[in-house]
Amino acid sequence: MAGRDETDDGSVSDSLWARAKVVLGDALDLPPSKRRAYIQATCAGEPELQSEVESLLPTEDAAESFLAKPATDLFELPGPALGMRVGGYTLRSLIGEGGMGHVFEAVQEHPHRTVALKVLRPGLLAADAERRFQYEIEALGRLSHPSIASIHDAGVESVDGGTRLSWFAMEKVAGQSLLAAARELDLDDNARLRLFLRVTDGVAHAHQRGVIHRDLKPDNILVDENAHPHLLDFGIARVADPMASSMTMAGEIIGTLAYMSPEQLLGDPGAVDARADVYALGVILFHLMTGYPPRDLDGLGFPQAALRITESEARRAGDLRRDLHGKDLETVLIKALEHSPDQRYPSVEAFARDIRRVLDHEPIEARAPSAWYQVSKFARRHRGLVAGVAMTAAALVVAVIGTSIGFYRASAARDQVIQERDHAEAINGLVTTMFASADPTLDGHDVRVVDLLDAARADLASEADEQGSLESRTRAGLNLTLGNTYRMLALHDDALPLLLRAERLYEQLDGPGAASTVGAFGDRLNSMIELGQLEAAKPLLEDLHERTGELTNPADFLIMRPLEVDSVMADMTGDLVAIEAAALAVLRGWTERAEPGSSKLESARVNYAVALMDNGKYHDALEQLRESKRNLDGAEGPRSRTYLPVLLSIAQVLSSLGSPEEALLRYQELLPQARSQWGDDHENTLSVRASMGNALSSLGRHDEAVQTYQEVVADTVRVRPPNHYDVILAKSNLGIVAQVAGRNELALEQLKEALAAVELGGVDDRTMQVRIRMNLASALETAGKDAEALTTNRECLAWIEENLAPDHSVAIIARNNTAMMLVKMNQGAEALTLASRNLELSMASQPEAPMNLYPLQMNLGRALAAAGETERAETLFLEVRAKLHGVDETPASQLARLDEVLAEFYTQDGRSDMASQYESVDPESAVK
Amino acid sequence: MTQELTQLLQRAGDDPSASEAVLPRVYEELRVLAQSQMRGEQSGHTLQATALVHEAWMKLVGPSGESLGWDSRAHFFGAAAQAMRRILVDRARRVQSEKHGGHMRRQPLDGVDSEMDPDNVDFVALDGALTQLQSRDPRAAQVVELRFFGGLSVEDCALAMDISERTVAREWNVARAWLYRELGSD
Repeated sequence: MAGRDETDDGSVSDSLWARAKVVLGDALDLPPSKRRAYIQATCAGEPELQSEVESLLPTEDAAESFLAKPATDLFELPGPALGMRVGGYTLRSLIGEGGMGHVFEAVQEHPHRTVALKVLRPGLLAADAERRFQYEIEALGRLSHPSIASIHDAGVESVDGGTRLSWFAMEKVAGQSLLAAARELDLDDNARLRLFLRVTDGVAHAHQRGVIHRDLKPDNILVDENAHPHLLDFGIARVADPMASSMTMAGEIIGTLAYMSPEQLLGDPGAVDARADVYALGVILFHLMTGYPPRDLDGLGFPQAALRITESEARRAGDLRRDLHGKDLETVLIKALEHSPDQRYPSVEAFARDIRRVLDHEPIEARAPSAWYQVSKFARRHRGLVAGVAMTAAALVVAVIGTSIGFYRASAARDQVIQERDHAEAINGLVTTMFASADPTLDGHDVRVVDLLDAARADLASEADEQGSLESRTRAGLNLTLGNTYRMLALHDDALPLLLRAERLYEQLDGPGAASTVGAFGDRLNSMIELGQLEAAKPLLEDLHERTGELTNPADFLIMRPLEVDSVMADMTGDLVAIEAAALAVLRGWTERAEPGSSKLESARVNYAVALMDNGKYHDALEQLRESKRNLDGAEGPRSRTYLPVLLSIAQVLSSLGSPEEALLRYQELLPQARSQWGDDHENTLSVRASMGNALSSLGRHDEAVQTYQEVVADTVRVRPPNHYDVILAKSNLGIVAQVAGRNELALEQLKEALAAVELGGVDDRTMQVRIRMNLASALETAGKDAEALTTNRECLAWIEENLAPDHSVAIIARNNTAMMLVKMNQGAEALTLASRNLELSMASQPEAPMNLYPLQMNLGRALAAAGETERAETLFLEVRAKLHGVDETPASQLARLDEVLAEFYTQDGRSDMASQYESVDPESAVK
Repeated sequence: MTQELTQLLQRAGDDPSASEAVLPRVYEELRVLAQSQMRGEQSGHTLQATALVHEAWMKLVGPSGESLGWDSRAHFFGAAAQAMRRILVDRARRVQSEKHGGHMRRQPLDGVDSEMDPDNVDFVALDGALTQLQSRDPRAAQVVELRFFGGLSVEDCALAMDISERTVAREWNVARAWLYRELGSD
């Protein structure tokens, strides 16, 4: 297609080309003057070859430079030169050069002043860059802080040839880079820390306004003679990808690299958040205090240096300065320099607070829970069944513990708040601006949100004290917004007074029947219930239904509010049947009103699935969860807040259905995500951790299971009051796991503690106590105290028969456990009565769930055997066994347990030949 | 994902299909990088082929790439150069069709005495000529690809192709002469 030789191309044979190439190559090695002669001599007698080679011989000088520069050079355009005038400033000298452009010292004549003038490097297709440069200039204009170099002036200038140059002029700071200044000014440790704190003040100021620096390094921090720091390049680095911009000069690469966080080096640049600045500040502080960077990158090329940052641990400050070894400052630095952002300080403020504590000789937070964690909650929602002695302990533990928690409530509440926040935005710009800057953390575990809220609440309170200028409606909106945000953060004590005030203000303004009043009322009621004020809330809840029904054209979220509060109420009372019904009502409501894949609908579905799970309807639950996952995949995908809860719940169902290996793998995958999305001590993260404990227990990895649960208990006890449901649940679950692990003393201790916690009151769930006591009975039995165990079981059963439906899951288990205890104590007749009744009731109430029936059938067999009805017992055992082997999803552990029971049966019946058929080859069970 | 590419690169030496599988990945990565560069998102500065390639290397292969031998890296850089060629040619095509109301038309080079600024290279024509050269003399064409599009030095190019630097220099000279004739006389 190219060139005049189109017709020749075919005729130039490959062999001709091969020869021409050799001749031409040799000729080109010669000086130009000798080439022609060489070609003539070499091609003598071959005119075709000679003509081909000669036509290729470059004749013009231009050919020498043809393709000499790499293709990509075409993107370079000439930059500004010294002496040039840009925006009324004359460029005097080049101060610095980076990926983004050049920084000049420049002078303005009227009024006379010297500035630092930053000019965007012109590029061929820089229009977009220019726009963003302008945007950043605006962002910079919003920053006003003594530790941030201020911006004076900005513009776009057309210079010769029509090149457009974007520029801005900023304060020219007379000073030197942070490290040099600290040396020069001869600052001691405390002075260095104070200097550094002024740097963090500036960075925190920017973060609160949504500006992340991303390229913090000592060279970007100039310190003046009064030891005051001035941050440069703010916002610029935010547009520029630090990786790309650092590519400009080889030396600069490593210089910048040292301060880049691992996630900046390896991850998606878009995912880099404020915690990258925490890391960079950590590197800076390390260098400032020890004289060395935390990683030695000297003499390394780019890939090696990147590798070292992403793969190696940072040095400890004490390695370089003995006197820091084991000191708080070392710990603070370790936390700031953590490889994973989730392990670092969640914000620059948190980092700075700890440095202040070091200065004030106060205990640091680096190892203690943060303020946020104190408010997080765990496993409120979970309603476990109680393990019985006779059933396969491991399989039961799975059913017993840690199905999901109140994901639905959490996310629905969040949705609501966001919706109402939008509403408030219309009312008032102040708070919403603050929330907007904190927005990325609304989902997460950043303490800043709480800080902001407290500040806003204080503002609001002082304004009210002064009988201030705010209109009532604005004040109502602010109270509602703040209250709901606290509510979303589960800080119900803080939320309640604000919501009540909002409700009263709206009532005065719009009347008791207005949507605004009813909305605030619903929110207040929700917080009351979550605070456990159930008796007081009950009549109010009826009131809410009534008043909502009387609204004209209410918004969807208002219509749904009473149903959602019903569901919260059901959760708090622990009535599993009511929980499932309420969850279903909410799901139906949202199915009519929201799109599949929307967070409202899918969180409603997850909540329903959790209720199903709690009621042992695992397959139904799995179906709902899979539908949620499909819907979410078709919509927001993993970015949805509901995604992680769905994945977690799926793993829990799988675990309950007898795939603990797979479940464990999934939990292990989920845990880091959960830690990152919610924080370490958040209820959801604790739920993942608890679920891991369950899976480990099911897999027979008892030591790990116990350890995992001990950590869960420790964290829950730390973040919860001693009589809290979560504490009770965590302890009782640890008791069960410990018992299965053969750690009977630990089991008894934890179960007794759980029981004592229940007796403190505060949990309005009377079945809770009986559940724990049933576990206690089981532990007592393991401890050899059979009589005591039987008494406890009987007491439990007596209470249950009086208070619960006969086919309630707890009743079934209590009856079963008592029967098995009786079997053990050779009271076969009574055992048989109980076991038969149990099976009948279960078959009637859940005919669709053969998997839930088989243990009861097996236990009926044992009761029959104990009552001397050997033949009937054998028939039943073999029947169950055949059935179980015909079902694909029967977990191996359950089959093994059945065989164990059979072997025992035959042994007791004196048929050791039959017994040996069923005896396990597994040495572990053989020992058992 | 990274793991997968690392494995592909390891196999690329013996397995041509692995080598081919590398290219689209590299191309996509470079395309994205180059696009944002050319839009000026990341910085207004020169789109440096080598920097881009190194960045793509880090992004695609990550630290595990350190364990790869030069042989695998050669495949990567080869793929990168090819990718760069496609990016630039695509871009040139687009610019041309915008300039000429959608008609594809060859832009003649400026006068022979003008300096051969890369900006004056008609990438579409160069691509056509290079494709011709490829069918006639793949090695010479690859040298052009690595040197001109990939921004590799003679030394790196020799390493990547496992031939001597002298051979690279000769191939480069001959190929340029041929391409210059093809392009310079329209």
